[in-house]
Amino acid sequence: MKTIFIFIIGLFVSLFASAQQKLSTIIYGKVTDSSSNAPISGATIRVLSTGVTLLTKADGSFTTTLQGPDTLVLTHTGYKQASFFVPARPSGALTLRLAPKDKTMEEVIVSTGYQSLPKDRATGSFVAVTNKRYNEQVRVNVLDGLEHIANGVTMLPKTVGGGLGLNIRGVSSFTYALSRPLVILDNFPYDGDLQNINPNDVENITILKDAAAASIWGAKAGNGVIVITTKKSRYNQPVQISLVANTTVTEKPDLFYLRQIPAGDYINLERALFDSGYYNNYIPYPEYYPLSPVITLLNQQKNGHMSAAEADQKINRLRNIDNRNDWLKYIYQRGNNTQYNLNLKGGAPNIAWLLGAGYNKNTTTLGAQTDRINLRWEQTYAPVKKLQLTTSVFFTKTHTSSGRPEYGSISTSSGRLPPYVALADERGAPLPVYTNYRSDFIDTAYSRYLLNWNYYPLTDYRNDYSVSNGSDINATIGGSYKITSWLAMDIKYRYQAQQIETRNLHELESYYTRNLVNSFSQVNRQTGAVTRIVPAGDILDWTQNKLTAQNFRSQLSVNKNWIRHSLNAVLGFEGSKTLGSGNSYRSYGYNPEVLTAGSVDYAYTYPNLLTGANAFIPNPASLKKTDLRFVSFYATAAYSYKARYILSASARRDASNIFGLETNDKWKPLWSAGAGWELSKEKVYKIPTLPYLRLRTTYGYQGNLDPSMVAVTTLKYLDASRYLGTPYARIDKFANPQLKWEQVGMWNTGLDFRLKGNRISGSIEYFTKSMKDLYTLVPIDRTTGLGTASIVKNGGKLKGHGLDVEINSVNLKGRLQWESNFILNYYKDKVKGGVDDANAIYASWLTQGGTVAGYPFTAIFAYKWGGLDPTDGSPMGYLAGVKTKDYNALTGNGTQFKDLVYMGTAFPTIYGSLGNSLQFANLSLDFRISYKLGYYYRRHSVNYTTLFQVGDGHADYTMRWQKPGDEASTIVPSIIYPSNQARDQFYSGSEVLVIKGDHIRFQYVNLGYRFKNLLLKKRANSLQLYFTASNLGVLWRANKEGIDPEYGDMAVPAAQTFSAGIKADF
Amino acid sequence: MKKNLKYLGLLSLLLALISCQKFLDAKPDQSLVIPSSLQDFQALLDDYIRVNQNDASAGLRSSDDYYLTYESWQAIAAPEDRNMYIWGKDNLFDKNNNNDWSYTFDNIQRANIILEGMNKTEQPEVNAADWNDVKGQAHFQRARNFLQAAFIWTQAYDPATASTDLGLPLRLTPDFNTPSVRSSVEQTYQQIIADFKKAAQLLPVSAVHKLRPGKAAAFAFLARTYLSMRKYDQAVLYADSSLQLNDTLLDYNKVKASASFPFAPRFSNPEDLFNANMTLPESLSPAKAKIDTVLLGMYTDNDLRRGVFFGKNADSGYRFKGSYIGAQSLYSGIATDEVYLIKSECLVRTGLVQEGISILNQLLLRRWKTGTYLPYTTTDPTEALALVLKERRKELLMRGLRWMDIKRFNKESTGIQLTRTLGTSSYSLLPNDLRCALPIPEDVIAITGMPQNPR
Repeated sequence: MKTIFIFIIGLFVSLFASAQQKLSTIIYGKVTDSSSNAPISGATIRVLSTGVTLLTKADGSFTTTLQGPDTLVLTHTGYKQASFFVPARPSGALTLRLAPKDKTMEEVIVSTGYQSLPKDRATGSFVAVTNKRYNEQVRVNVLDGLEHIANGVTMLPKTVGGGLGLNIRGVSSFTYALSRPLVILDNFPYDGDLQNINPNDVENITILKDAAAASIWGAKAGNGVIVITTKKSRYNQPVQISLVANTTVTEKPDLFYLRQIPAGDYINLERALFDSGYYNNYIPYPEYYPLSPVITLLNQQKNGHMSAAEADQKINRLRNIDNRNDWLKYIYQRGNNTQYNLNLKGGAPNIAWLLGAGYNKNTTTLGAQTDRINLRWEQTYAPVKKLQLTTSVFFTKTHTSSGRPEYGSISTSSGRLPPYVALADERGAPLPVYTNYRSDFIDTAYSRYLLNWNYYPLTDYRNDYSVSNGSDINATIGGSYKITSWLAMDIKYRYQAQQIETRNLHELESYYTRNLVNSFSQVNRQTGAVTRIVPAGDILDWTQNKLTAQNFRSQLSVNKNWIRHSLNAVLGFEGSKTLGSGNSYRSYGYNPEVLTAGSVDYAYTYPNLLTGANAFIPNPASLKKTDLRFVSFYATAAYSYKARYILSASARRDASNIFGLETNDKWKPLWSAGAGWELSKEKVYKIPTLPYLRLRTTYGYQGNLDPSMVAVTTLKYLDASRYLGTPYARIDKFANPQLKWEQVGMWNTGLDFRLKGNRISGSIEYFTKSMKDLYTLVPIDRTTGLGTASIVKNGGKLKGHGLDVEINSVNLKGRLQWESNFILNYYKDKVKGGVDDANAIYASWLTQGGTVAGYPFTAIFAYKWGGLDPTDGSPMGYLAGVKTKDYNALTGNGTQFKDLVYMGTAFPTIYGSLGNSLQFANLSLDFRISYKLGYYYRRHSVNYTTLFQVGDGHADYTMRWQKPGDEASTIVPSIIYPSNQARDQFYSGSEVLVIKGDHIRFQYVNLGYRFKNLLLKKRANSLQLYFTASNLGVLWRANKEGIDPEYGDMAVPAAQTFSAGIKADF
Repeated sequence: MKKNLKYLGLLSLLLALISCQKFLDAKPDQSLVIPSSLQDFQALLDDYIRVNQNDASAGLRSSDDYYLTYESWQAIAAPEDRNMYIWGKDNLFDKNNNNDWSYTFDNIQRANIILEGMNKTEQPEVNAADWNDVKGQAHFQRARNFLQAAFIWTQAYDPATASTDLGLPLRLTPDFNTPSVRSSVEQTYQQIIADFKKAAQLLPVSAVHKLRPGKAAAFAFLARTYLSMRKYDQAVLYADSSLQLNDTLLDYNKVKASASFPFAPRFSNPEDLFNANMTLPESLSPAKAKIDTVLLGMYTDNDLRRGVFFGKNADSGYRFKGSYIGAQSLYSGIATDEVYLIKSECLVRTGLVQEGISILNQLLLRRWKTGTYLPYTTTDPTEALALVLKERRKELLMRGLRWMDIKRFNKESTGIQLTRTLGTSSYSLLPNDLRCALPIPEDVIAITGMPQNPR
């Protein structure tokens, strides 16, 4: 790297040296339209060194005198501003071409959070999401749907790493939680809840993808940066009012997408297990184990309390029930979101202001409600010409209340709720559902003394709910002083305070409270006296979380233009301090009417009414406090020569108070360097069909850090010991002195181009990523007593490369306009060394995830499938090429790496979208499809162990092997009792369950109609109506199972949404 | 330009002022602490959920205190658990870290961190007693966990072969980069004895709470250790030392036998010297684990233990409800009744038959219905030993001690053979079978290269 620096310095020296000769020359020429070659009259030409301005004549011609080599700056309404370098003695007439200013050509400004600059003058990889494209979708949260419209941005499939959300250019860490991009709101990292930002305040979004763009953010920018720029006002502008109102309907989720065991099969299975004596140990213990309705009936029949015919009849009635119908009928409803937004802005000669107000009301399909009010004030004031003061305040208030229980959220103490357990009777009256106890036992044993012990899922949420109130203030003050014409100093201070208070009230009528009160009751059977250890009243859980972030920044910016050179640089310092605190406590016997609470005894144990086991009264009180601090120095500079060569560099040093590291080790410099070259400005460049061509390349480092990594053994104090009264502690992190931050090095090379007439424009970027010192889990001998199977080391290395292509085309001009935007991203990575040998003690563990050198980070390995044994339907695998049913060996130490099949990666290798915009008169239509290709997904199937244990059944059960010959038509193993966990594990990890993830989906369509100048003609005004439909579903998928690989087969895909809205500007 | 320089000067001053080290020295999380103070070490030892309530159950699960019906056994979810019941050769422990091996060594590591931390920290002069207490607790916990592990993963101590028999990896420092190497059984027991002796020397006479050990508990464990090594002369000395500090016995006549858990609430039992319990795997749940019928038949009518220890199961057989924890959890601490039995047995074995029987009588007097107990008077050593061992069997069931006893007795050539019957299959464990030392979890062997116990 040293040589690069020397090269750069050398270049600077030689360029400055050559800029010092003076001679007077007359120059003449013509200004023409770059697409039509027609002359442009009335264009302003400014000579940079002298400030002399002149206008072109009717034929576009001009004449002036220069004192040596100089730069001409051309401006014209309707054309894009352009600078032309003129050498000391130009030969003959100059032809200066101006590109027409139209929608697709508007100069794109990108923002790094430290500075804004025209995209054409940056060397790094920036993606600008324009206001128009941003608003093609209706969104509740500020980053919703960004993955469909931003080049290089995708959403991690929900099935990878728990669906952690937006991802820029692939995963940069082995730790998914560290793979989140940094989000900047205007100038500072946004530390609060992103849901607090009003999407209507957003002007545009810039995504910083490569090191040159992102390394200015240092150790937090390893996964790229998303910069949200809010709407701004300008000096000297009349008052503008903008109104938005829209409403969105969300359909109910498609619960039948989940492939679950049918009730009939489930009942047959329960009967078989009952006959095998599986429940014999449970039936005699009503105080410990609940029984499902079918087992209850079978038991009654067995005990002679019911005839076989009656039991059969009652059981058969259950066979046709699928309680998903109840959920869809009684629990889920259409969701709704309504948004109103008002923006006022204006400006006088020395003041510019903006006022925004937004209201968003969201009701989910489960009836949970969120109200959000956003207020915003921004003002720029210039008391004197050189000084500019900015104040900006965002205020958000949210109110959230919980809704009904989600499908799958209700379980019993023996596992999942069987599919035939209905929530309501035929007339819709709520039915009690067993969860912890047997109703017959409760009824007979204690009902006289106690509160009703039944659970009604259909109504319980009314008595057991939470309400959250949040507020968020984000205020920035800043001053900018122009010290000279080219040097400015900026100071900014940001204060953010976010607070959220949640009150979870379990009313006495709620099952939770009744259950707790009853369990702790002590009944004297002789006298019937009931002693209540837990008072029979409401239980209130109260939680408060606070976050305050303070940032300070002081920055010097240089913006100096010489005749041939220009320098744009920033040098600064910043510090931040983020304080988090939280506390929660519980009140028993809470009375909301008079605000009183009872008291309970937390110090002693009390016997459970049913089991006699002693237990403490639950006390979920907790306190926490965190304090993260950063100090950073940064500098970035871009130097351009003749407005066609650009060199850029940036460097940053971060330090933080990450616990335990020596201060010296805390510092971590990150840097980048880049170069750009606008080929089309060269004299020798003569490709008229391609009037704009620019090459750029950058290299540099970004960082990743995990505040929880420490170099010394630390312990964490837990609550006070119930018995000893003093706090007890547990080792939190084991001494790991070699730990440091992760580094992401990226080389980015890009090509920007525009075809003649701007019919086609776009960019192609190729990048390589080299990630080292990644936190990786190294398996550890459990004898070391760390209580974990692996420890974190900076051992991981990952190499990635990819391609980001974006092409914009104007397909039709004229009355009907048609434009397309095509995004293609390709990304592949490979693990390099460090983890290959030991990542799995047993190679077979790789079927459950893990990394191996030479394969992608998200590689999917599977057991080779040997089919089903024709004699008993057992799955067969291979060990050293020999078919076997030794499942312990297959899933344990028998399987060698070469016995596994590499299927592919779980992360899409090719992804992107195609958007089309059509405009006819006042009517516009935008729609977009997206695609993800070249990846795999491991689907789920029957697991007999979990099926028996917790009733977790899969629809594949129906297709299981039942008799010889079935092996020809099914891959689902036969049922065996008792189950064999290793056999299930082998099947779950086998290659037959790995499917292709490739799919194409219809993302959104937006239809708009714009009424122009409805009001008085004197001011521009418009009224726009729009309709949007989103999540329109999968258009094509490679798998035959009907699985949406984006969501996997365990979660229901996002439901379709339909919006209608109105936008008025005047 | 001068003005500009002034601004630059101001800026750099600002930078220098703020970038001070102090700003970065703040703790990122208020609850994070580098363990260094006495309070920290004590807090680590007070993590009762891990230290006192996570003991190994593999010994008990391998023993004949209980049996499972074929249906119950089949219904057990984890194949490792089913395997352990029939003394399988391998795959007896959960593959995902939740097993007795990692629980045990977790506590050993905790003790090592504390002992190393205390060696690095200068001992304060003011509270020497507290300092010794904490250090003693750490030695105690390390020894206790090694002893528990030795009962499970090594063959019984045999003076003839102990120096060559495979012992435990004796991890004595917290550095996890040190490889684990198996010691000999001799070394293992020497380490256990050294730690317990150190603990006995440092611990206070009476502990603040039963979750913490006192001197009496350390002596009691030394007695248990020597007993398991069949060094009866030593065992009797330490049993006596323990009883001199605490010889309280609970009169079972005062225990409510009809209660779901007669010894509830926890810590209420005065016999309890140090309170701990095992993890409760599915196979030991009261609904499944039925008490061996031969064992049940040993209790006579006036023996209160029959009512206090056992509850009739609704289906068939009897469950154990007499845990000194006073709950479903099974007791694995140490109590005075065990110390009485150790002292009694060792006295008898060392020729002091009358003294031994007298000790036994003191215990049994509190186990019989008031006024019904007729003290034993035998002077015959063989008969006396049989008596003591019978009462030991009846008193200390479901505490994980039986497995150690079986291994120890078989070294005395008593010849206890265990048999399990499941459906039509029958499984046996012959005396001194290699499988009496359970297999170390396979992944540990794979990663360390330590030799596995021969199968």
